[in-house]
Amino acid sequence: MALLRAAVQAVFFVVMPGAFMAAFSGVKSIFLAVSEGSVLELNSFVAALLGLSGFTVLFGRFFCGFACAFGTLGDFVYWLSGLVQTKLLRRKKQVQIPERFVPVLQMIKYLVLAVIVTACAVGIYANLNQYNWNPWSVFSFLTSLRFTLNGYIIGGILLAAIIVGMACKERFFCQFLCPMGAIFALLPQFPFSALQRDEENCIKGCRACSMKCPVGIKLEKDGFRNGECIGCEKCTGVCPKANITRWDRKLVRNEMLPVIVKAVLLLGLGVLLRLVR
Amino acid sequence: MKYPNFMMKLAALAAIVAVLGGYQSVASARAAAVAENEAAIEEVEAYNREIQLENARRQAVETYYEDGTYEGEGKGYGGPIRVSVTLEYDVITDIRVLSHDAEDPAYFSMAEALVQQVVSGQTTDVDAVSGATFSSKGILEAINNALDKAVKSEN
Ligand code: SF4
Ligand code: SF4
Ligand code: SF4
Repeated sequence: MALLRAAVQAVFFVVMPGAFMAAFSGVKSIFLAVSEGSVLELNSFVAALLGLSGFTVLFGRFFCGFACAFGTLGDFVYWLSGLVQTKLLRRKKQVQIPERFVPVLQMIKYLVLAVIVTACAVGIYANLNQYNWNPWSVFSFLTSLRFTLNGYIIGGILLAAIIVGMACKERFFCQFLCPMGAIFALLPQFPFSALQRDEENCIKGCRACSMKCPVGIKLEKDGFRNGECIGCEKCTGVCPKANITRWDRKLVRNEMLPVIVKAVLLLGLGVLLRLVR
Repeated sequence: MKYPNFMMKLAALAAIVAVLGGYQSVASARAAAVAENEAAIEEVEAYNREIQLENARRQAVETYYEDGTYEGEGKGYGGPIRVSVTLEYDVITDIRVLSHDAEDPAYFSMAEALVQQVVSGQTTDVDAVSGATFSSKGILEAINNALDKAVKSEN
């Protein structure tokens, strides 16, 4: 399963590295239009936003867990840092941000979202942008294989800082800072699309799943914080009682097939939204 | 209620959509009024360009650019963007995008709107499209590159 996930992530990294940026540019384009008082148009960025949001409402954050290039970068950096620390430096455990700070830090992304949306809506976003601060832009140079900063000094420094963060906490950017992740977390996700944990059946005092979970949650029935779940499906494999599952996994008695089906659907959506290169 | 959290988020989403929908209907009504105005303005501007051309033709004034169609290239997000610019008596009459092979289509289609802005404003000094900065800059660079080639040699 871990291998399948890495493979799916690699494919999406190559074919649609710009999807998360396009979707968030859709949010910006809506609020920039509001600040100018002009009509909202269904441009290709707004289409990307609607498409990915719709997919998330239907299937949970499969996009985040398996397809987003920036999320993949986070997983790769964390994996690499773990490898270096345990193998080369012979440490027992990878450096970690203490678990008790995590829920608080996870709130920052809503602030990031609020600040950017407000800046767009009141019309000062263009002024902000002249500082070339956007770390995603720098990331987009790299995915286009252009290894220059293009004057994005602040953006470059921020990206470097984010990568350091990614090395110290799995999905650092996704859970703490990503404004698109904030939107996904706030979207209603159909209850049947989410993984279900059968609480009654749990071993008393067991925390295996939340220890494994990159965003440190224990799934609850219709829990508010379930929105934080990035859909990585790691918790399902670690449960000694196989207590975390979903109807489609049960139906086909296989954990790979639903992933492959969703990946193909998402790829089709990417082609439709012209996000695929 | 069976899924209170889901319902709450759904309600919040519906509220946001409703607000944006309300905004949209107000904005469309206003845009319709503005569009009438703008159509009139564009008509005048097109007329002005026509007169400018006409005058230049009649007086055979010294132009800055050599008339003709020029190709230019700029660096977009993933590679070169090529355009052709047609000039007549220093007026940009037409711009066409010839190729943009390495641009992500969703991004490029956003930036393409700039071409119209350049023709109607007769300047390449326009703002890049937010989110599609590189495709925007590539298009403008390509237009400027074509214009550079069109400058008369004695200038
Ligand atoms: S949270 Fe943001 S960066 Fe992370 S996977 Fe989701 S969209 Fe991508
Ligand atoms: S480990 Fe489970 S609960 Fe945590 S993010 Fe991954 S899928 Fe969601
Ligand atoms: S790992 Fe399994 S048994 Fe343990 S808390 Fe999670 S779901 Fe329950």
